[in-house]
Amino acid sequence: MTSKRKAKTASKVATQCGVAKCPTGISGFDTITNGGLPRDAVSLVLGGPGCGKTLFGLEFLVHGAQDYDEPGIFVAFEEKPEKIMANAASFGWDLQGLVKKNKLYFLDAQLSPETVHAGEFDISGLLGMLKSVADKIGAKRIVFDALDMLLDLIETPAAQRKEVWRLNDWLASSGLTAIMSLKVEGKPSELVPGHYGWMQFIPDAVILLRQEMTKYFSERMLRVLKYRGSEHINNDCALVIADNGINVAELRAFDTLPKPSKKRVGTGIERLDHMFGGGYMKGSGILVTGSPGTAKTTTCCAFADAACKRGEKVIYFAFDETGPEIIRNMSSVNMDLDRHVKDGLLVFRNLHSRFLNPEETYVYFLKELRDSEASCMIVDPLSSIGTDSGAISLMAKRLLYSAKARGVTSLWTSLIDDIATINSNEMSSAGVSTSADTWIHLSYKVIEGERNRGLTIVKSRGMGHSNQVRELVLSSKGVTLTDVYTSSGEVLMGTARAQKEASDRAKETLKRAEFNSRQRQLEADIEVLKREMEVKLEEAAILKQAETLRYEVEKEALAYTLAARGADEDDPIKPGRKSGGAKRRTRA
Amino acid sequence: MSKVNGTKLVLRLYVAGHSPNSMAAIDNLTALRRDQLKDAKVEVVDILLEPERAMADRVITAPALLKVSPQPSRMLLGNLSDQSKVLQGLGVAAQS
Repeated sequence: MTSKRKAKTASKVATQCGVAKCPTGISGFDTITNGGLPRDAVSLVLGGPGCGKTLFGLEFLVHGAQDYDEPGIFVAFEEKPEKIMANAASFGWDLQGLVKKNKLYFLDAQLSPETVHAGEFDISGLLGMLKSVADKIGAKRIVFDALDMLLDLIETPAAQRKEVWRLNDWLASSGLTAIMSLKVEGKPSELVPGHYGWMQFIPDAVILLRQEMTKYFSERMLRVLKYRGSEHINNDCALVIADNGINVAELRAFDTLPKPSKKRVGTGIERLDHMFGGGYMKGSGILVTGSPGTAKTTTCCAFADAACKRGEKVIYFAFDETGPEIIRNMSSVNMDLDRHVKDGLLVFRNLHSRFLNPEETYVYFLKELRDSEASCMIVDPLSSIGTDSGAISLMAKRLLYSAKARGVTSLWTSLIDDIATINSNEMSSAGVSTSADTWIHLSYKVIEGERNRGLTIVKSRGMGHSNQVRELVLSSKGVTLTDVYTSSGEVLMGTARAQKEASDRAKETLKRAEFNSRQRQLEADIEVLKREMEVKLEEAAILKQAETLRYEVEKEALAYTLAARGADEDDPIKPGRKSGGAKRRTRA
Repeated sequence: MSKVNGTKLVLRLYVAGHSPNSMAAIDNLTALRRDQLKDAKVEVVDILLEPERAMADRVITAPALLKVSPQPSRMLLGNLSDQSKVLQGLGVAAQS
């Protein structure tokens, strides 16, 4: 018997190098187990009270029946089927309908406390019943909920093992994928289920569910303790029970992201687009840090506004302010977000962070992100999710990763007072600063009793970006950036900038006036010189005239002399030859 | 003797085929009927043949003896080897 069983187990292991999987349909679980539970095999779900064991099993069957056309049987040892169905009503599953359609079968295996033990018994009768049901509805899945209730009836451990092996053998030949759930005794952190510790060596997969209090929050975690022949995440994964059932925070080390996009998306602040050379990188994570009131939310809203104007869908997770408050506040900077909300493009989700632990928040985000089919996501602010910065950091990294995996451009705000302390105080940025692709830091600069907002791009992977601090100006016209005044290494903003600019303008005017006057003086000088020249020219002309006149006078005098001497009057007199001729005539 | 409060005892024994415990239960009950449970009406149901009936009575292990009447009904698990427990469970005082 034993050797036969061993042989069977061995052959099972051998064939599991490439284990067939049975998808549970439980959000996130199939991802961390790379496909679901081992098909046609037994999985053990361990956990204390309130960890979600029953729900895990039930959801496995519901999805099987609804989504995979695999009818299932729920063997309820602990609770009445009616009670289980009533408890599951909030998840919106049509359990009654599935039962009517023979897709789901509840076997009430609750044992009456009045039951008397009167000798040995076995579960062959149960198996007989299950076989008949399985044949009738064509079951492919089965859940034994709270198997410990049955085992407790069996008096000796040897007999218990015998019955478990009987069950296991029967399941192996039944073609059913099975879950057995078992209560864990003692501390939730103890992995061995109380007195049924040996149970975990039988199944092919063991899943531990636990619930713990961490500081202020109750956290449910799921861990795959064992999974024969399959890669899986063996870390604690957050388990959250939401209105769609169980959600397991999925993230696997071996997950790959889609090819990053080179497309840019507008930031909603025109000059910021220029600073980035076109906008944020599509599908990237942008961290916006700064002290309270540095316009982190406004920066986010500008982006949301721009995205909605492009017709993209935006989901906005708001913690500090509610959606209507944000809408009202943004109208002061000429942003009409209400219109986008009405168009269904902008979806606000308000959360009271103090009621959520980071992992729960993560699962909620993921669900909302998936359901909304948004292409842009805003988390404002990240720093208010819970109190455990380590947990926030982990959660934020995972959410960023999940957003990227969906090609979603995400903006995260975080409270940081001083960028210089960021390295020593990395937790305040929730560890996203290293994961984020782009990091914008908003700061205050107090100059002359005035606070002004400055915007710096701390980093931006894969895109050229301006290294200059800009002043972020919020006005009724909207959000704009202006150049800051850099003067002798000092950054001036606001009034100081305006004053400096005005004083510089005055200086400039003065300089110009000086230049003008000098120019005019020179022009005047030129004028004077011109006059002087004219005078001299006139003088020269007069001199020339005088000379000509003197010559005429001389000529006349000569002519008179010649005439007086009886010289030929017709002889043309030339000044040069006049005297010669005269001389010649004199000789003649 | 096998009457409880003047009402005739009606019993239903669920067995699982010919499993050793089921066979033992039939033997043990037969022995009891010879002595303490002479007038008891006993019906034997094979779970493997009539699973619906077992389910209706919420019988999940075998063998199991169900006291149908008089009320309150009572379930006795096991092969009925412990005679005193059986009689106690059925509300029948063991004969001295």
